[in-house]
Amino acid sequence: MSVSVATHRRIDALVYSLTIVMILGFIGMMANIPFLIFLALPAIIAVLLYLSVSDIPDTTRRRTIMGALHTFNVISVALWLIALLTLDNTDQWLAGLPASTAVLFLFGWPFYSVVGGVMYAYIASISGILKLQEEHSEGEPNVVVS
Amino acid sequence: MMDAQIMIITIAVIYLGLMLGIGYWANKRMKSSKEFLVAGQSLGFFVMAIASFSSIQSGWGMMGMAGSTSTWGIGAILAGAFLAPFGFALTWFLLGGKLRVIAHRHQAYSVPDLVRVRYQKKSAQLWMAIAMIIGSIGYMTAQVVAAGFITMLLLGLPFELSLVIGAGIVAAYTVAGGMLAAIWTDLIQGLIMIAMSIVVFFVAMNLGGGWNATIDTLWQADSDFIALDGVQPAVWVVANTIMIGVGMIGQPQLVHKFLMLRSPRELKWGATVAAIGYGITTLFSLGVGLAARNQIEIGGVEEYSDPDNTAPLFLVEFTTPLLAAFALTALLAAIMSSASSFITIGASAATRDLMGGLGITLKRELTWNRIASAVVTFAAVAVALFLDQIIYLLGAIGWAAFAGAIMGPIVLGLYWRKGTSTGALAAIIGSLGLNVFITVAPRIFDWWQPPAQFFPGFSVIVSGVVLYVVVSLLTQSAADQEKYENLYRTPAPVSASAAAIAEHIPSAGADRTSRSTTQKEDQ
Repeated sequence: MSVSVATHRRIDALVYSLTIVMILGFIGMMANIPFLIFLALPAIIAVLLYLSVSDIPDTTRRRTIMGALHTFNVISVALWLIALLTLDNTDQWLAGLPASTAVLFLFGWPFYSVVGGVMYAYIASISGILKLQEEHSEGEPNVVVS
Repeated sequence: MMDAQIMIITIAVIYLGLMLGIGYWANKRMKSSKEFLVAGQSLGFFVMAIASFSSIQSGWGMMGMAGSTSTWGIGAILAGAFLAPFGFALTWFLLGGKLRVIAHRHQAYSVPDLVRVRYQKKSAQLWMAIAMIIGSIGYMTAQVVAAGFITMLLLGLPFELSLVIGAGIVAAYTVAGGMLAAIWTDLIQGLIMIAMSIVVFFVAMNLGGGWNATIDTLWQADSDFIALDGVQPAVWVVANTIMIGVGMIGQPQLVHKFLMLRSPRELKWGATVAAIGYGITTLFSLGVGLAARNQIEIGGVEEYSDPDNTAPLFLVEFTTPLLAAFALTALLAAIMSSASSFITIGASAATRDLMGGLGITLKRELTWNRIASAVVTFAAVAVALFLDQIIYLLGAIGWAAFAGAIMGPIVLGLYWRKGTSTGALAAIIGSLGLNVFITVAPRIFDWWQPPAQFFPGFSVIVSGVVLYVVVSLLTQSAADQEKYENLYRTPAPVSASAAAIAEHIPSAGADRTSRSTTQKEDQ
């Protein structure tokens, strides 16, 4: 599981991005700016998902994986953007709920609950990462023993 | 009414007897601390997935959430449960395979163990152990309060005595059977929760004339009950959502399950099963919370004096005795499944990690684990008797304590080579200190007046991540990067004799590495 310099740079960028997005979300909460914290949420999710596949080598499989993650993240951002834009809208209703509640409750909840797990199974399957990890889990402890 | 109470008590006693029976069975199989702490690293995917969601879905999630939904409306579900199922997927993505690899290669049985192998610094391991003990007691407090309410209702005893009895039963089977008992009881408890949540949701919605009629009644009474920006500000709701969904990755009762897996291949469908299981059990608090509020609004019942009483009182007043009995049993299951995990986690942190960090080697580790389990339970009962927060907020304190301490040092630390032991130490101490401050400040300082939309748990998680990253960048060293490389370096071939020793003396490898790294650090 050795990791290339490019991968380390990618991980560095993701860690810094997560830190910045979390700070922006915190400012959004303290200053009561819905825009900042509504968009911080899908951004945090996106950064963490990209971090989780950051050490998969650059291959065709990686591009397929990134495609799946990009699609998921675009939908995720769209859900929160719609919820934000309809936050004060009392004219549009769905299943008896205001639009902002409905988009998260009726679409966001099943989307995150089901698609997240299925996407993990799909990515684990095409990346072969679980097989690789099984091979790497055997052996003695490798922390230096004096 | 007497017949109804006898029926409820009978079913509850049968259930508790089954749990104690599993504790007895596990006790007979228990031969080492490896079996006590990580169930012998033998779990398959289904048991692991169901046990994962049931240890997360707690008295806080079902009973506390039903009360908060009744008080805050649908915003409470969006805040506390909406993103939780996705939290499982996120945890599987970020930690699943990596933790399984590290657990087997380094004999890591606990979260502080992970800190030891990642940072090789005694003080970081010691502080993570302290964070685990405090977080376990905090989270356990929410569970024993919930258990106390139900036991009080079942037996008609004073709350304080009920609380002690409820906690005592959980402690009994956990002390006897450790994590092996906790896992198998989690499986049964998870399946009970799923079944009862579906039934209770439809019964509760039917009571108000169906989903649309119930929502319409709430809208007529107060539109805030169904709005995202409603009883609680939208910003507060989203901050809470982040704490739950993202903070899930930092929950040791979930992290622990990855250390118990038989093989990484068992991970593939685990996140889906756990997420769907959790999502289904949210129907319980959604149904009971909205139906209870509906009944309050149409005058079917008076406002409950304590929101935490909503679920048990609603079930007894508005469902049949048989359904109430099974539903209350499901609530007990939710409470116990989390409590047993936290007792074991707190005990392991105290006996292995805290003592190890202090340089003390315990003989008869299994016996000490059991003593520590009893002490953690006693401490939670003591705290529960002195705090008067509602269950939901008590649980949030424990959840944030874990997430704040684990997000940076463990989650980011497994990926980021620039993470340092000093950064980990700063994140653990800083987030723990902030959490304690935010919890006690309103009772002590008059000047502490946060805005209405301030949600403490999110702030604790942000502080943990920011401290970890910033302090790590300020304290970079080649030695720290070497420690990161050690986590994944290709291991030397293992000899048959070494494998046999590791098999029969499970903590030997861990103790060896711990001592050697401590010596290095001291030099």
